[in-house]
Amino acid sequence: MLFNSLDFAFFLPIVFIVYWFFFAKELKWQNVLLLAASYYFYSCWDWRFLFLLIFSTALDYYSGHKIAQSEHHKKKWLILSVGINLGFLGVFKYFNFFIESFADFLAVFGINQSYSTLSVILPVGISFYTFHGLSYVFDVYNNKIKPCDNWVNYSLFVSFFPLLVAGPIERATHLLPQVEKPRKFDYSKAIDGLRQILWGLFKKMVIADNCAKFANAIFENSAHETGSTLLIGALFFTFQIYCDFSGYSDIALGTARLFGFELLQNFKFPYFSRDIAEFWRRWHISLSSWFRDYLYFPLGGSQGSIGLKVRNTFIIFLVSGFWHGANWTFIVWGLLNAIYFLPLLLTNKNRVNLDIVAKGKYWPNLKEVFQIAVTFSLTVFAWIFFRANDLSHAFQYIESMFTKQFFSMPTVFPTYLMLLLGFFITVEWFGREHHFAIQKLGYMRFRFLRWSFYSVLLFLIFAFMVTEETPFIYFQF
Amino acid sequence: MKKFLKNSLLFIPFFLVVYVAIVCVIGEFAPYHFRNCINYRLGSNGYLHTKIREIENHKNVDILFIGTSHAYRGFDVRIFKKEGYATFNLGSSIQTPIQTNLLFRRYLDKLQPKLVVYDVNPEIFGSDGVEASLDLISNDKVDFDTFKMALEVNNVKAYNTLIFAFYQQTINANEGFKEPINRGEDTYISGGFVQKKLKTFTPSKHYEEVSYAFNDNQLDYFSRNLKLLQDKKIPYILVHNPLTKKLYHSKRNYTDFSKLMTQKFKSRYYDFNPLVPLNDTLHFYDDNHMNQNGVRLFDAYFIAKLKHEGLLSQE
Repeated sequence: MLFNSLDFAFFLPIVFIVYWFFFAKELKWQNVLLLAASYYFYSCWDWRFLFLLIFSTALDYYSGHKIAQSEHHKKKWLILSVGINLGFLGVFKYFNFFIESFADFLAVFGINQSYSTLSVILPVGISFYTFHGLSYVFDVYNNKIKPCDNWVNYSLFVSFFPLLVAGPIERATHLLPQVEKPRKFDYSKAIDGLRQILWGLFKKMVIADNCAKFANAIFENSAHETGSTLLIGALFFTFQIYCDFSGYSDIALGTARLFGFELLQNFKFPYFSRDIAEFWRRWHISLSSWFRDYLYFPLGGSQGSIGLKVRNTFIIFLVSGFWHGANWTFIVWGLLNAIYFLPLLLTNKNRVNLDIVAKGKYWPNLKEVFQIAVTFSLTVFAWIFFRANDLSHAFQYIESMFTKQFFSMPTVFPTYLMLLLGFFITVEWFGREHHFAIQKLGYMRFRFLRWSFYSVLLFLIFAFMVTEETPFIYFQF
Repeated sequence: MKKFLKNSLLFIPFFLVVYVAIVCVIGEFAPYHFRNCINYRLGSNGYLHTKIREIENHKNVDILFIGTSHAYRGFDVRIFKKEGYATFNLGSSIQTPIQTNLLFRRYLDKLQPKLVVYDVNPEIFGSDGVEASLDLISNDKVDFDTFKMALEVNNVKAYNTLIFAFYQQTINANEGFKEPINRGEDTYISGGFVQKKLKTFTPSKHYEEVSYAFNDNQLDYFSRNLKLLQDKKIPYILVHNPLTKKLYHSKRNYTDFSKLMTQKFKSRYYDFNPLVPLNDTLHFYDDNHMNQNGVRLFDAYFIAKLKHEGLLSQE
């Protein structure tokens, strides 16, 4: 079931009404309802993988208890849980990649080995719920939390439907206490949730899906397009991936807020970043912070010798690239970001831009404009690798882009989409000091103006949505 | 919670009013490039606007042609008139069974045909029917049946165009509109035929082999259309007009389509592709449509065939 589907438009109000009207005072039944709804939501894709989700949940729940109880076998249980979780991830997501890459490697030395790959479907959201579970066992192991004593509560933490298939990747320390605490209906929170859902739908159904139409056509025909058209294609993909993923996160956060939950903020207007370090503090925050806490810091972080700093930086970016999928394009994308980041780290400038750009002002100054433009350009360049079918496609794309036709008029230039992008960027810019772009509408005094703006957004969604339901990009990860 | 529900319910009518207002403003004032959410086009390739207004002058016709551009570009009403038959061609661009159903319900009683020639272009059974709906919404009256058709195709563009067409109808905006008889290479012939300026055609060297797709909803409407004709006791035949041989032979599951027409729908079905000796270059102006030379040959063969089958009187 997709957030941008008619099914979800029926599913959400039904769960909402039952949750607040029938179980408003009963936390236990509220959680049971949400868990049942979450399992139903997940089984709409493929009910068979529900068993995998339940098994993974049970494994971490049991391991958490064992880790907390045993003095001497703590580590064994941790390794067992991490091993099995990563084992599933490895089989479903990376097995074929390793087999094929190994065979390609042998072929370089003239050894041609026949091999067979697995014909398996990637279970939706496996990377996300595996990381939910892992965060729990790590936190129990590090004595940050006590193991959860209630199976329903723990399962809901792992499987809560708004975040189940594409995050944000929650932490047990943040979400579990909310699951265990009674929740009361809060009018302003619920309205804020609806507002965030609306903005997320606009991002996904209007901006991302329309950009996708053109980006897909340009990337698939990249050998025959002019340099300027390829640049437009890369720009469209840049907005597609942001609006697709952050749109999903907005809908997830808004939906969770309707049920009284506050999820982790996943995006903070990353394309207004002034350097790559700031970009990574604003892009897919729940994943970056997960890697930071459970990988980067244990490796030593930015402490120690220059060699260690460089090693840790490369590890974290390569792993982050690899998390996205079993393809060399993602690894090169991670590598490229590591190369962008390294100069800032080595000159101790990676924590310069911690505040919001042009805070309290309408416009940025010239220096900030330049910094944003440079960071944005680097990001666009890296996204080419992320989007390309394989590495040779990416290199061909870049080679064809930087020809003299780079300065010609692009053959693809949809005026309506440019205007929509202009509108979108303007709203995001003026809303950048808030959790999501249109949050401040809630402070607007006149209801007529607020409702008119919502109506215009809804009109744009109906008018420009792509009629076929299009899945979110991050479902494949 | 009460406040939340109350405001949510109040917002719905507010939104609907704003939505309708925006559609009307865009349809009325926005330049063409910014109107891709509304596709209101008065006048069309099939001259539907003109032919619907001509229906009043055509009653008790011998033959009613219905279907896609294969019909309105394939059956020349003048050739039939010369043979002594009164005909009317109600074909429209990419007309699918959903639109045919609406046209039948509106105009069948007015035209009272003795025979219906239903062009069954296999492509339309896989179509969503959106484009053809937009043509009908823009060029015919808007009423509850139009609304039902829009619901059937269930497409935002169809809804927006319907809203704008209803607004145009309410303010009588199209009262003075007269569709030009000549448009580009096309000329409208009274009675519903559209003649293309004579030209020949070079088919492509390579045609990708594809299969026809059949959409259940369209098949359901097709069945309803046949039932409607049967209930009114109007004889009908299903015809597949000639395509270029190259295109015709590129369709893999053609036999399935023939079986569908004859076995599932138990109708008299004529595929003229193997019957009429037409040349891809000399008798077509594109893969789907015959030029006027092709039309002359085909119509003559068609009339002879119908007479031979006893479907037309030997006048």
